[in-house]
Amino acid sequence: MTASRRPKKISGAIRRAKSPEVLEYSKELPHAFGIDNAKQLPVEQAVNYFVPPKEFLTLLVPKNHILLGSRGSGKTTWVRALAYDHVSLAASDSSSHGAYARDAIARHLIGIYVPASAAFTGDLRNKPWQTEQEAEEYFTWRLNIHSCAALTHIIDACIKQYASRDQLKPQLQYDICRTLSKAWTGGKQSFTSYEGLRLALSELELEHLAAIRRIRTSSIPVQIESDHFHTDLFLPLRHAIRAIRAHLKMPADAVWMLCLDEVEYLSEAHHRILNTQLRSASEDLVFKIATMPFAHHTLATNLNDSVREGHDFEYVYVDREPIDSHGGQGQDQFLAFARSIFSRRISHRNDSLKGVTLGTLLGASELLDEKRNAQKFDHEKYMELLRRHANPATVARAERLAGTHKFQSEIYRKLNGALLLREALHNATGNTSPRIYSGETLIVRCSDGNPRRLMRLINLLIQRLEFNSAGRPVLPIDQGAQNSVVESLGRETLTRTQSEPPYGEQTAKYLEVIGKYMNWAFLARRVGTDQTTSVEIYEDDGPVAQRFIKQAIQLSLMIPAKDVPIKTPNYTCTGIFHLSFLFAPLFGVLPRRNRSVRLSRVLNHKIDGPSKFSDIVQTSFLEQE
Amino acid sequence: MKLSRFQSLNLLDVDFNEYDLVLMASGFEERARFILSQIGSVPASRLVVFGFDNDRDKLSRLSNDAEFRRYGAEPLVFSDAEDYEKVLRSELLRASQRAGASRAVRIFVDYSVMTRAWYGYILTWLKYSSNRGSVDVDFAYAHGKYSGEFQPLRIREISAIPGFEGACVSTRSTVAAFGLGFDRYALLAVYEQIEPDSLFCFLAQERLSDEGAGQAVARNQEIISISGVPPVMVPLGDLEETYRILHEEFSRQDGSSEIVAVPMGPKPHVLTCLLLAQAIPRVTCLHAKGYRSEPVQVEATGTVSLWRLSYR
Repeated sequence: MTASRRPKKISGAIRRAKSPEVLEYSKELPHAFGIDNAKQLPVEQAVNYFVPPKEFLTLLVPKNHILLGSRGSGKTTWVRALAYDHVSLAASDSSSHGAYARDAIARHLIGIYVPASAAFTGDLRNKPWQTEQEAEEYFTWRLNIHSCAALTHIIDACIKQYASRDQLKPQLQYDICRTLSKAWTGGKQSFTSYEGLRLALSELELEHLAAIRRIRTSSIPVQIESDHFHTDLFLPLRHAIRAIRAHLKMPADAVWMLCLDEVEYLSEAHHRILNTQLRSASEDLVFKIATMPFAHHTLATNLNDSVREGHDFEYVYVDREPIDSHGGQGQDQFLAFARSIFSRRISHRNDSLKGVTLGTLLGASELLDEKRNAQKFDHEKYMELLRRHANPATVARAERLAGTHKFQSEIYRKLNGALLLREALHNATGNTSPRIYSGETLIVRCSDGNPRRLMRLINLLIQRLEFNSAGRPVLPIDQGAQNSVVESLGRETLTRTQSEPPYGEQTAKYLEVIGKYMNWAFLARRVGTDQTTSVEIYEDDGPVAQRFIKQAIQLSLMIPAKDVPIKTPNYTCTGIFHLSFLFAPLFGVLPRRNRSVRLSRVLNHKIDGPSKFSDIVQTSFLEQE
Repeated sequence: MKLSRFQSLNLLDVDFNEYDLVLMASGFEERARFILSQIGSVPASRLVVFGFDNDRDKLSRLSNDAEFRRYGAEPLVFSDAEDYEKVLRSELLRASQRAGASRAVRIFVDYSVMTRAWYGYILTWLKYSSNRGSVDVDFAYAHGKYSGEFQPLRIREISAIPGFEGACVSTRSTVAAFGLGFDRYALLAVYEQIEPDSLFCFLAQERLSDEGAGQAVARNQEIISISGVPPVMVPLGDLEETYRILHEEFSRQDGSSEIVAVPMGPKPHVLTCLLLAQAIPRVTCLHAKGYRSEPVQVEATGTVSLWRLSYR
């Protein structure tokens, strides 16, 4: 035994890795184009990059709203954009970009953004010894102190907006901070700055945490000393708002919007407490609560009366429908959004990429850009493709319709993408890298209407840019590189889904099985006018299928059809669900929406010999149970 | 009490009759009984062994349990985390009474296979209990070698380790400190959930050409790439040096950010993060709780790191 062999001392400052693998990765900046997560942006960038969609404007009314959106859909961007410091900054932009902010200011809507940090939610979940009442009191105390901390970030913007001419702004800050700090510390401390206020709250928090630890380690009962925040939920916030109103000349109809982010990580009991607030909300304080689909855990309140949609609150959907495969993509909302957000971000750069558009960066899509393909249309070549890949009935129909108007609408438009893709997949053998999954329209479509996924893809793609000897970018980015980026992201996303709580392993296996089935359906048979791109799930598919589809929707890996409701808690989620377009390159399928099959049929599909896909999924189910 | 000193010890120099409490754990890894096998004798009345409630018949668990029984200690198994804490609390109190007021309480903890909740509780007790004496806790760790394919962690929940929640009320940004291990995807899932504003990684490197460090880097390339900075290399078994390096790194972070430490690597790094969370109020230690489809056997390499932490 070599007991206690002490490793050699490392001298000097922090040691950073020197191995070649690490250096290779570290030279690639993670966010070459921009941060893909709104939470991580500084205030100025969050305001500059924000492109308000029209649904966002529905939040600018004094009503309670629950925002539902999958991961990366933009929930945080929306609730953050409502914060009064952000609104105040955005309103200073006199262009149409700042119009929403000027509107909010004119309506005297004052947003307070309460982020749900990892420490905040992690702290609420780790006290199994608490009784239900203790847990509720702790949550109330935490949210009280956090909402007041969030308020400190917007006081300055309120002073700027509502100080009257005869009031000195520094004096107002001094007076408001003194009033609040005295109230918050029980008269023990007096601060005259926002930082001071936050310091006072931090000290209270640390004292409280230490008291809980003393209780846990003590053999005799220990009491927690009560402070200003051990009271009804949001009472300290309401007091603070009244104090601010008393110092400023605010109009009587001013409404405060408390914006709570990432509420999906809270428990059902916490949601019941929040619902109680929605039920009994006063006129000058409303709530904008962001959560995931199926993660408004309950409609119950602590008042023996549930909250009702349309009466106590409205749901707002943040997820955007991605490109309609049958519609003209030039008019598509998300493509327009993608172009707009790209141009806003690129306009803040001052380098060789300045002036580049999303279209010039990525070029046209061979697979999806119908106009481009229509210009190059060669009837003989097209018929050759048809004969190689289409089923006999389709070939016969095409020959019959040749030269007529119906040939374009019923044959060409429906089949061109599928034929091109099959041809490309057949040719991409050996060392030939596939190039077909490339181009602006395709990259945007593979983002599935999800802004974070879009930014992630663009970030990855920009890292693949090459520059000529004059330092100018070679545009568009190589199609093979584009294909490789989007396929890799699909693969990584699928693999990492295995670790996602709570049912990641199941979700990943179902996705894999669905993708493989669609690939089989696309390649194993000759092409007809319909391709399988979606699955149907019904109640009799069972609880495991429910867990899968709900988590897949939350992660934006399955997209519900428009008519599938995703709001009601404990709802059995049935209907048609589309496989995320992100997976199209990975599984070699067409990024279009077309025919659906029952999930049970996918699971009963035989792969090798007697094995079925359901065997794979079943293994995961048993492990999970 | 406050942590006042680190001291490196040699297991061969330790007299187990001098301890007021010897705490060990039985799990499915073979190394669970390695330190026990090296120490000759230990007074049965002072030996307390915790057993994991799950995987009770997997790999080396049954033989580990049998070995602890041979030393006179029946592994204690509870279904409720609180019950382990109750036993710990009463054993720590008993150890304090045994030592009396005239000398430091002496505790030995073999945390080679222990869950962080157990040794975390000991640290919380040391810092926050009403015990006003002095305590020397010797933390022993048997270095291990994985002898199977490392299955990905299926995360069920991410929560703060009780007692190691940092102050977060006035922070508006999050820095994550990820301790890298051999799991390629778990940290990516954690990253997606906590969405930190910035991130740095750290990992164990024992020597310049360390095969284990190379593997950890290779498996974590994506998260290292996201962090945008090379990972901080820290020793595996040198608790004091790891503490010094990470304290320096944590202290460099923007003062207005909360720091979320997610150690997924070796246990000495977990222990160090817990100690740092006690020293730096804005540090929260998170735990990604989950399971692996197949447990992996870990054999002891023969190296033991033994560190005395003195609390005064």
